[in-house]
Amino acid sequence: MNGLRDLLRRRAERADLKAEIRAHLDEKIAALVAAGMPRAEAEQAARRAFGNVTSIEEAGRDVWRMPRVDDLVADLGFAFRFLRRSRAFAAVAVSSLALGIGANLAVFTVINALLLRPLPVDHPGALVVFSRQYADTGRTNPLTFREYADLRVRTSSFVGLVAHSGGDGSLQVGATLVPSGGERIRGARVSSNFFDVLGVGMAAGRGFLPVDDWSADSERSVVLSYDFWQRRFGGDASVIGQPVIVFRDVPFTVVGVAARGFRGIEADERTDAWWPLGTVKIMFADRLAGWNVTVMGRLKPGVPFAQARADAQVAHAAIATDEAAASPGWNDARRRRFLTQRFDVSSGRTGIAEDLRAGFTQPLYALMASVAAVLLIACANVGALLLARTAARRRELAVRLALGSGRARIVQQLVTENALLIAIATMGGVALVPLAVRTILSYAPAAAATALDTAPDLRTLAFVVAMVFTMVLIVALLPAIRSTRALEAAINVGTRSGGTPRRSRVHQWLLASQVALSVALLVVAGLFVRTLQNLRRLDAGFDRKTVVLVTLNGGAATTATARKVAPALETIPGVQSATFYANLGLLGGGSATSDCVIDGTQPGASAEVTCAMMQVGPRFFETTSTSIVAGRAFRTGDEPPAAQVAVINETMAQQYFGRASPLGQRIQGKLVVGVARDTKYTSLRESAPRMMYTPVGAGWAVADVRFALHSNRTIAELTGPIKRAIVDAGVTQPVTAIESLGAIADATLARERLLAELASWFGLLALVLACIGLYGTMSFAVARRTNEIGTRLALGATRARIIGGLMTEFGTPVALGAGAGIAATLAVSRLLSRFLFGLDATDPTTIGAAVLILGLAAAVAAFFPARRASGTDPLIALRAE
Amino acid sequence: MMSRHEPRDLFPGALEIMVLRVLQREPLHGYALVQRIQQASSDLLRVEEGSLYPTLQRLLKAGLLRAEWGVSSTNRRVRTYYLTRAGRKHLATEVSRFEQMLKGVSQVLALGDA
Repeated sequence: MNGLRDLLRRRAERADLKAEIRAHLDEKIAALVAAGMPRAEAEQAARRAFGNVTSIEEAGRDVWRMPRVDDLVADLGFAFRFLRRSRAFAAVAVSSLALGIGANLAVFTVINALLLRPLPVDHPGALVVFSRQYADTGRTNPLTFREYADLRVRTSSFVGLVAHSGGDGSLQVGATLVPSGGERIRGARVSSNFFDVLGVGMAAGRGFLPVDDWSADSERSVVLSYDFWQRRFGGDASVIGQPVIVFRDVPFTVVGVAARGFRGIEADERTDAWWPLGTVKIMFADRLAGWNVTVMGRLKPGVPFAQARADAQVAHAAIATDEAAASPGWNDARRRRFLTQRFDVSSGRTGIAEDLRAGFTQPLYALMASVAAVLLIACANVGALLLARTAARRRELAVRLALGSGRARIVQQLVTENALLIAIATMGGVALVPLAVRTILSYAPAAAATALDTAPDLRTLAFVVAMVFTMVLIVALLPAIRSTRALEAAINVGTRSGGTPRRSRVHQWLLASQVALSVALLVVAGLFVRTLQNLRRLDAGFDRKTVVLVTLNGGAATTATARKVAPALETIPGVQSATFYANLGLLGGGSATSDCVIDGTQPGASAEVTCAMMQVGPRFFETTSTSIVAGRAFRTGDEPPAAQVAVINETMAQQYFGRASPLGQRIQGKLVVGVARDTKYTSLRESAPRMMYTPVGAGWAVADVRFALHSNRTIAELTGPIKRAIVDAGVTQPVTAIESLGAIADATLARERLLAELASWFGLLALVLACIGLYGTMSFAVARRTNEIGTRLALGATRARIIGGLMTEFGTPVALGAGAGIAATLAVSRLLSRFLFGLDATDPTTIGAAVLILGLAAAVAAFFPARRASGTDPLIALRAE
Repeated sequence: MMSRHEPRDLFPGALEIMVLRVLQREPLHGYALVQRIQQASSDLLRVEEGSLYPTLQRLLKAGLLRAEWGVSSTNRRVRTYYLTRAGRKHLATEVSRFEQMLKGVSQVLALGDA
C-alpha cells in the first residue's frame, strides 16, 4: 500500500521540493539584501550557504526512490523500445506464442465445460450417477423406472435417489411446449424429489410436491429453468399458476422457476422445463415401469463412496435376479446377458453427458496433447530466438558485467524483456479463445454447443497461470541464465567474441525436439485425415447425395399427417419420390430394437434374438436408394393389420438363415417378402445391425417421424417448395429441419472431423513453427561463423560445398528429431488406433509422407540462410577479424 | 538510508532529531527552520542549509511530518512542516535514546587518566 502511495506521490514531491528550494533561496537573498548586501553578492552568498542545489534536489528525490520498481520500469521501457525496433522478431515470437496459448486455453475451456465443471447444486461432490452396461457389447443399458424405485427401497447409503429422463435418443426425447403456438424446448421428466435431493432452490414459486411417483395422482406441474423463464416470459412471475401444454394435449400448470444458474443435470443440454415422471402414466398408460431413466444419488454425510457403491451394486444384483425370475418368456441367452450386466456407480459431480463424453473425452485430451506440443514448439522457437538475440548483444552485456553490473540485475532485465513478450502473447492468445472455442464446439451437436458452459472460472485462471509460468521458465529464464553464465566465462577468458560455444548444443536440442513434435503431430494429423477420408468414401448402403430428410413439428406425427405430407412432397418439381419413416435409423442417432424370433423356433443359447426396427412408408427403398437384393419392396396392401410382412437386411438374412432363402419365412409373425442391402443405421463406423423393416400401419402416432425425398436439387432450392407444399397440403405443423442425408452422415463423423481438421491445423502450425525455428537457428549459426566461412571461401572452398556442409550439419538434429517423433507416435499407436478407421496407426504411407513433408520444409528453411552465408565476401569477413 | 550529503560533522540522526524537536514547538517552513536551529544552537552547529531538505523529505516519507503550502507572515508562499502524531512519538523515544547515549559517552569521556 505504502509503495503504491509513494509511487503516486513522488512526482508531486519532486516539484514541491524544487519550488521550496527556490523559495528558501529567495527568502535568504531578501534577508541579506535587507541587511545591506548588494543583490548580486547576496545571491552568491545565499547559494554558498545552501550548498549544491542540484545534488540536494537529487538527494531529496532519492528518498522516494524504489529501486526495484524503478528498475522494472526502466527495463520495461527498454523492452518496449527493443520490440518496436525489431518488429519482425516481435511479430513472429508474439504471434506463435499467442496461437499456442489461444489453442491451449480454448481446448482447456472445452474440457473444463464438458468434463470438469461441477453442477451448480448444493455439494456437488456428494452426487453419484449409476450406470449399467452389457458385459459382451459394452453398450449402455439404461435403468428403468421400476429398477429406480426398487433401488430407492433397497439401498441405505443415500440421502435420496433421483430419476431423470431427458435425452439419450429415446423416442420420448424432449417435448413440445405450446404456450403460444409451438416452440421446441428441451424438457426432462424427473422424479418428484429431484430438486430436494439435488439441493436446488426455487427462484419463484415452488418445486414438485413430494408425492409417490407411482401414484395415479402425480401432479401435472412444470418447473421452468430460470434462463427459459427470462427468455420466454421475460421473468414475469404471473406465469406461475398458468396452464401450459407440455406434451400432446394434456394441460399442465407452471408451479415454479428453478434457481438461477441451474440448467439441469446434463452438461451438454440446457433444460428448459421439468415435469414429474409420474405423469408418464397419464399419457402412456402402463409404460412407466419400463421407462428408461438416468439415476443419480446423493451420498449420506460420512458414508464413503466405496461403501455406497457396494451397497448399490448388491441392491442392483438382487433386483436383476428378481426381474429375471419374473420374466419366464426370456431364453437362457437373454437371461444370462441380463444378469451379467455391469452395474456401476461413479461421481456425479459434473452431471451427465454420456454420449458427448463417450465420444469426445479422449479426442479432447488428444487435442490437448497436440496443442501443448504446439505451444512447446513455439516456446522452443522463441527461446532459441531470444538466445540468439542475447548472443548478438553479448558485447553490450559483457561490458555491463565487466563494469560491475550484477548478474542478477542483468538476468532480471532479460527476463523482463522476455516476460513482456509473453504477456503480450498471452493477451493475444486470450483474445483468440472465444473464436477458437466456437470452432471446436462447431463439431459438437448444436444443443451441446450452446449448453456447454464455457465461461472462465477459477480452473481456467489456474490453467493460464500454470501455462504462463511454464512459458516464462522455458522462454525467459533458462536462456537468460544460460547466456549470462556464458558471458561471465567469456569475460574471465577475455575473448572478444563472447563465450557462446561454437556449436550451440542447446540450439541443436531445441531444434531436434521441435522436429520430433512436428513429425509426431504431422503423422497423427495424417492418420486422422485418412480415417475421415475412409469413412466418407465408405459405402453406407444409401445415396448420401440425393436424399433429403424433412422433420415436421420436432418429429411428432400421425399416420394421417404423414400420408398427406409425403404425396405433397412428391409434387415438388425435381423431386423423384418422397416417403416417411419412424423409429430413427438412417443415422438418426437413436435406435429401436425389439425381439426378432423366427416363428416356430427356439433360438440357440448363443443366438441374438433382437434386431433394429424401422417402420417405413410407401416408396421408402427407392427414395433412400436402398436396393432390394432379393424378393420385393413393400407395395400397396402390405400395411398392417391387413397384412403382416417385413423386409430384412442382408446381415439379418445371413445371420438368421445362412445360405437358405429368407423369403417366405416368418419372423415375429411377419412374412419376409424381401431382402434389402445393408445400410448404416446409427453411425457410419458401425457395421450394419440386423434390421427389419415393416410398413406403417393405420392408427400410428410416433414421436420420431421423418420425411425423406429423393432429388438432385440442393437444400436451398428445395426449402421454399417443401414448406409451400406442406402448407398447401393443409398441414399446419411447422417444419423444424431440412437436411441432406450427406450432411447428417457427416454430422455423425463430428469426432473424426474434429480430430482430422484440428490435428491438420496444429500439424501445419507445428511445421511452420519448426521451420521458423530452423531458419532462425541456421541464420544465427551462420552469422556467428562469418569469419570461418569467409576464411574457407578465401582458401578456395566452393559455394556449393559451404551450403552442403551447413545443411548436413543441421541434418543431424533434424533426422534425430524425426526419428524421435516417429518413435513417439508408434508408442501411442494403440491409443491412436481407437480413433482410426480403415488404416493402422503404424501406416507406413502416412509416416513416410509426414517425414517427407517435414524434410522438404526443413531443407527449404535451411537452404536460404546457408546460401546467404556462402555469398559472404571473404574480404569483409576477414577484415572483421 | 544515509545520503552522501549528510553533513559529516553531525552524527547520524542528529539533524532529524533537531528538526523534530524544533517543529514540536511550532510548525515552520524550511528557511525559518534553518534559522531556528542555528539560533537555538547559538551558531555552534554549522548546518549547510540545503542539507535540511533531504532530511525533511525522509521524515515526510516516514510519515513523521506533514507539509502544507501556505503564506508566511512576510507574505511569501512557503511550505510549512507540521509534526504528526507518529512524529511526536518518534521524537520522544529518540530523545530518550539520545540522552542515554550522551550519558554513556560523557561517562567514558570523564574517565580519569590512568
